[in-house]
Order: sequence, then C-alpha cells, then structure tokens
Amino acid sequence: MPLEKHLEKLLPLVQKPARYLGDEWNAVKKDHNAAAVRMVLAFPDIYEVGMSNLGLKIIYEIVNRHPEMLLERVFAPAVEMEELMRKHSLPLFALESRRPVREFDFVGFTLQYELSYSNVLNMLDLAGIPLYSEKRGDGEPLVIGGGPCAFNPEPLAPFFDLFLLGDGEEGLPEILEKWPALKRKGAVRDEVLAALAAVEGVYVPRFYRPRYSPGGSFLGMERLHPAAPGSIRKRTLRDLEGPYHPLAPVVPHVEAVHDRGIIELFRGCSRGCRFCQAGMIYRPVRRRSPGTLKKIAREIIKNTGYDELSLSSLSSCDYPGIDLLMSDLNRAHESERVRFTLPSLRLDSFSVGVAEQFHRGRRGSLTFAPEAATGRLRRVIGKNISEEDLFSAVGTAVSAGWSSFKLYFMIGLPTEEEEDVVAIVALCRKLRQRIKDEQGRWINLAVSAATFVPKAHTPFQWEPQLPMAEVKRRQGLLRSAARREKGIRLSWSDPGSSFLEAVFARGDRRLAPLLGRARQKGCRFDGWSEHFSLSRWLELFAEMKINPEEYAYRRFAELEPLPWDHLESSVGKDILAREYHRSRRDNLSWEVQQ
Amino acid sequence: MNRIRFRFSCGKELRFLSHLDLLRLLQRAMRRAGLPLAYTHGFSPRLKLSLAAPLPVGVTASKEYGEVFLVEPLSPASFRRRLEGQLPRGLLLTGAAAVPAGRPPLAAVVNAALYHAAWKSGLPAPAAPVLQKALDKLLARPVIMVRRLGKGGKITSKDVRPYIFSAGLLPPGEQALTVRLLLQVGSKGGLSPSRFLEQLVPKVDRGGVEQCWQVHRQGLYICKEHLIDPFPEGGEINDGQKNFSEL
Repeated sequence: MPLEKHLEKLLPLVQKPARYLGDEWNAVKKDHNAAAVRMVLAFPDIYEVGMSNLGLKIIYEIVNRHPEMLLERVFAPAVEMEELMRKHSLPLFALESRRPVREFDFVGFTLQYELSYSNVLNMLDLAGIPLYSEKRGDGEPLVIGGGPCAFNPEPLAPFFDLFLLGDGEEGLPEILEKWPALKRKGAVRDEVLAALAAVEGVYVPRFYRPRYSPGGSFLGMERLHPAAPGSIRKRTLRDLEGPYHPLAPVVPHVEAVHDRGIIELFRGCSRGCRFCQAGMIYRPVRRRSPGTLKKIAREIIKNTGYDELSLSSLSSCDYPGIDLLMSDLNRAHESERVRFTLPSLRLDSFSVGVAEQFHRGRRGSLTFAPEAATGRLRRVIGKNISEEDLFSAVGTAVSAGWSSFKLYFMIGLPTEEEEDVVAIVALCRKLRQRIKDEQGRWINLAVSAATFVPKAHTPFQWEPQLPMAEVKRRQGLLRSAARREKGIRLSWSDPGSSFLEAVFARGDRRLAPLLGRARQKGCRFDGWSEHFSLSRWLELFAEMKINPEEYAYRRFAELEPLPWDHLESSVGKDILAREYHRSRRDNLSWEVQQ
Repeated sequence: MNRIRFRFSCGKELRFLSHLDLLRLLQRAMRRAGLPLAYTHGFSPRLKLSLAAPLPVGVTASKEYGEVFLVEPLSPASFRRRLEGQLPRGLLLTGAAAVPAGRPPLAAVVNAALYHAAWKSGLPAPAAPVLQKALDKLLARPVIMVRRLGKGGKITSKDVRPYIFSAGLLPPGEQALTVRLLLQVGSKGGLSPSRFLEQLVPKVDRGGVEQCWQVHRQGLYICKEHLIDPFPEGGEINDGQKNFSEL
C-alpha cells in the first residue's frame, strides 16, 4: 500500500511518531470488506489529548461491539507532521487501518470546545474531503458531529451533514444501522439525510435556513424539508446501568494527558451553576450503582493494566456514598496497587471520608473550584458555597496530608466589580492564614483565573462577555494584588482566545465562511497558546466584514430568537430566563434533583 | 525477593516507542498478566522493573534484557507463559531465568551495545570503499567532539571517541551495505548509533540519518576483555563476575 510505505518514510522525521501507529493494546482492527458500515471518529486535537477523552472511549467500544460496524480513530496531526503530510501529499488516514479518512462511510467529529473548530476544518482539508456539505458527492463520507458544541453548532453548520445532540450510546448506532440499506438502495445524499433526520436527536442543518432582518438580526430558522422536525430534542440515555461503559479502552503508546483509566460514576449534575453549560446539557442526573461501578473497575484494571483510575463525573463528590465506594475499591484493588482519584472536588461535599480514602493514592495537589471570591458574586452565579465550606474542605484535606491546592476562579462574571477580583487574593491569604493558625502549616495555592465565556443553553447565554481590554485590566489588578503574596501562584487565561471562544459559542451560521477562510489562512490549534494568533483572527473578521463584538460583547435581548432555539437541551428557555432574572435578585440558586 | 531476568526482541511495529513508552508498556503488560509483582514503598509505589539499556527511538532489536522483582517465587517458565499472552505485536519474549540473590543490577553491568546499521534500499548508497575510508578516518581521530543539548537547553561538547569500541563494514553479501558498531552504553556515558552515523556521512540534515539507515540492535553485552552475553540463548545468566560456585 503506497500510503503505508510513504508513512514509514515520514515517521522517523517527526516527534513522537508513536502517535500515528494505531497499534496499541486493545485497538480494534476489523476487516473493511466484511463491515457493513465504516466510520472514523475524528478528534480535533493531538493524540495525547484525544486519548484522554471519555466520550471517545465510549463510542469506540460501543460501535465496535456491533459485529457489522467498524470504527477507527484519527487525531489532528501535530503541526510538523501536518507539514510533512502536505509536502508529500499524504492524506489524513485512520490509525487502525491506515486507510484514507475519505474512504470511510462516516467521519464523526467530537466537538469539545469552540477553539477546536479550525482544527475540524483543517482535518477535513487534510483528508481531501470538500469542506462544504453541499460540495460533497454521494461517494464521499457523511460528516457528522457530536459533543457539547453540537448544542450550538451553527458556525459549523454548512460543513456538517448532521449533528447528533446528547448521549451517543444509542443514537450513533441507530444512525449507522440505517446506512447499509440506504447504500444498497443507492439513495442520494438528500434521501440519506432525510432518512437519518428521523432518528431522535439528529439535526440536519441543510434542512433549515436562518432568516435575518434587513438590519442583520437573526429572526429564526425556516424549515426546508418535510422530514426535518420543527425542533430537535437531544438524545437522553434513560439509565447508565446497561452495557454502555467501556471495559477495554485502548492503552495509548504515548503518555496521554490523563494517562489512566476512567470510570464514569454518573452523568449530569444536579447543581445549578448558571455559567456552566455541561451542568445544563447533560441533565438529568443518571447514576451507576456501586455494584456496576466495581464490576467496571475490575474489568478495566484486568484489561488495561492501569495503576490509576479516575472516578469521573461533573461533580464526583456528589455521588451518594462516594467515601464508601472509594474504600471498597481501595480494598478490592490494594494488592494490585491501583490508585483511585477524583478529578475535581465540590467544596461543600468534600468529606473526611473522601479525604481519607483519597489519601492512599494521593499525588500532587487537590483541586477545588470556588469560581468567585465574594459570597455576593457566588450567589449571582449560583455557586452556593460559603467561605466556611472552603476553609473546612481545605482544612480536612490538610489534616489528611495534603499541602498543595489548585483553586479555580473566573474573571468577568456578570455583575463583577473590581473588589470581587481583588478579593480572590484576600480570600487566598485568609485561607492560608486560617490553615496556619489551625494546623500550624502553610499551604501552597495555585490560583487559576479563567475568563468567563457566555455559553448557549445556560442562564447566562444572554450575558455579554467583559471586553478584552477590561479583562486585561482586571487580570492586572489581580496580578498586582498577588505580587508580594507568599504561597500563591497565579495563572490566567489569554483574553484573546476567550474572546474568540465567546464569538463562536454564541455564533450563528454567518460565521461559517469566516471559518472556511481561516482554514485557508492556516488557523489551527487555536486552543494552544503557541499557535493562537488573535491578530490573524481580527484580520479575518475585518476581511469578512463581520463584527465579532456583536457576538461576544452584546447583551442578547430576552425576546430575540437565538440561533440555537431549535435545539432542545434538557432545560427549557423559560427556566433559563427565570434563572437569569434570579441571578440579579441575589437569590440562592436552584437545585433540580430528580 | 525473587528476581527474574528476561530477554525479548523488539520488532518494527514498536520501534517508534521511546524508552519510557516501552517501560510503561511492559509494566502494564505485567500487571495484566497478574504476576506477583514487587513494588517500591512510599506514596506512589512503583513496580521494580528495569531494562538493561534504553533502546533508541527508531531502532529494532533482537536481544534486549530486563529484570523484574516478584514477591513470590515463580518459575521462569510460568513467568513466560503468563506474560506472553499480554504482549503486543512486535514484542517477543525469548527467555526468562531466575537471578540468584546478590547479583548486581543488570543496568550496572551492561555497558556495550552492538548495532547493525543497514543502508535503506531505494536510496543511492555510497560505494563501500568510500564508506570504509570515512570509517577509517573517523576512527583514526584521537578525539571526536560531539555537541549535544544538555540540561536547561545548554549546548555542551563531549569527546565520544572513548565510547566507540569498534566499528567496521560487514563483508558485502546479499544484504545491503551494513555498518557494524559496538558502542558504549550505560551510566558511564554512551553514544547513540545515530550520533555516530551523523559523524560518518556528514552534511545530512536533521532526520537524514534516520532516513538513510535502518538500525538494528543485535545485542547488549558486558564488555571486558571479551564480550559477555548477560543471558545468552540456551545459556545461563552471566554478570561477567565469577560464578558463585567458583567462590
């Protein structure tokens, strides 16, 4: 095979060539001729990042369990590899079979966040697949998308044949199942898409046309096809107890960013943080039983040899009986020296029990996310924890043996004032002093200050983002407040990339040509500070005569139609609006428990 | 404590793995195999596994060695049987033996690596006499300074001539033009085959060496007056020290 031979020549020239081998333990290699439907799952970032993603592991195993379905992987090649591939006209290829991506029936992109959009288009281009759905012929793959960004995919709409909203465990196999019959029938693309639009959760963007007022305001979506539903309801898996969890995930050759097994305790989050998109779109909360989780842990350990398993969910400490579960797991796998860890911790449900169970496998620091430093601002954003919660959680952890902590805050939250920003340092100082007084030890704090990005389907979807210049000024305030502070290490996000993220997070279909142009101009890896260039993006906006501030800085009117109104998450617009109002009344947030 | 020395080969499927990748791969394979592994103490226990010498990226190998400590006695045969089923394509276990107590760590005694660097087919090869002349010239130099990137990004220069035990052309046969290299490895300093080959055919750009030569590690040795194989095929383990029975 010429591609194979070519690749062998290029691999010695690149860094970490093992990223491109596809020969890892538990990789599934199926016969292309025997498969009725062939899909490649594309992750728009490098191997080490993609191989840490739980969604990819789930989809990989679920689809490959079907005897007649085949699913392979592809990641964004690193920049130097891409250059070589382009120089030698080597198309983007799937790892397992090393076949060109364009030979598959489906190319599925997982859309994790907005700054990966340029990589999506760059990968399509590298694959030799026409970027625009309309330009693709019947022999070319169907390009599909899923993940959180599918809840407002409009900036990507013309590039995709369809999006699947919500849980993919059942939805994706349903889509793939329909393919063989459609192919046999020789259905043309529009017929295929009309048939797939009938699958619950499927959004076919070409069947909808956005309408705009003469002044350029978005007026709503016009349905163009009888097969297209008026609005699309997300897929929701009823419960997770079924055989959905990956048990034999691929063990990467190259060390992944999160190089460990993952067990998903539950999906969804019962908290109501008003800025949090994941907390809204993954509802309702669905838990796995402790028995199921222990069985899953046993299988993953046996099949991978991992020595660390992360008990993952949006708020793992909220799992009822988390300390009991951890102690059971610790006991069952003590002789195998397996560590069980929690990704991030809730300040008000971090208990002594968890601290003690966690201690055995401790490594590095613990992470908490107060998000805002004043009680007033925390109430506005619906993060209902008190200063006492912070002190007692950290105190508990310190008595269990930790001495380093990561604290996540945000800058630019709605109603934020200078004093809220400066209070971050004051709070950290107070926390350190308090621990010193109580336990006689100084702790180290790594404080991260991200920039608030309003996201679709959240109560803050109408909120403007704080202008970049002001974000910079407040970051400066924070820096000078922290300057002579001992034991506090500060980091902050690049305001430029947060701005771009906000533009696309609330963007509409008019941004698509800009993305196409950005591809030509070489934009990629925008989430990586060494590749991101704000000035290049600003030039693009100017060239395409688009005002990005209209998307990022504008307060959207409550009555105005939103580009994602036809896509239904679990929380209705009326409830989001109610929360939006409540945030200004300084009320306690809601808790939606089921 | 039970200690097992094992021998394995590393095929072309795995040649792009780094030393750490390979270590991780072996650790996970051993854990999957359910071997009674020994761990270090402390907060993050580590498996007591070591390899004789890191295999350079891009290089295949016939006889690599590793050692692992077990908490229970296990016959080398069942060690092999259990581990074999957990190894990926490209990694072949070719032997295992118990190591008597008190022997020095493998990595401390292995100090030489034998490589065969074959000119890749399809590329215009230098004529054998030309290459021979370049070899002679290089080996005649009393000092061979090689620049390398040290810690903290500093470029340092080092004389690598002492790390070259021998180098020569294999007699021309049916196989491609091949250089045989015996180079020092280990804690007392070493030289990678690609750095040597760079010196041999100069003016090849970055990656040029890897493009021209396919390097294979024939074996690892204890280089004293003669070469000692630490665990020869069909033989006993050997540290280059007197056997206990002789003491």
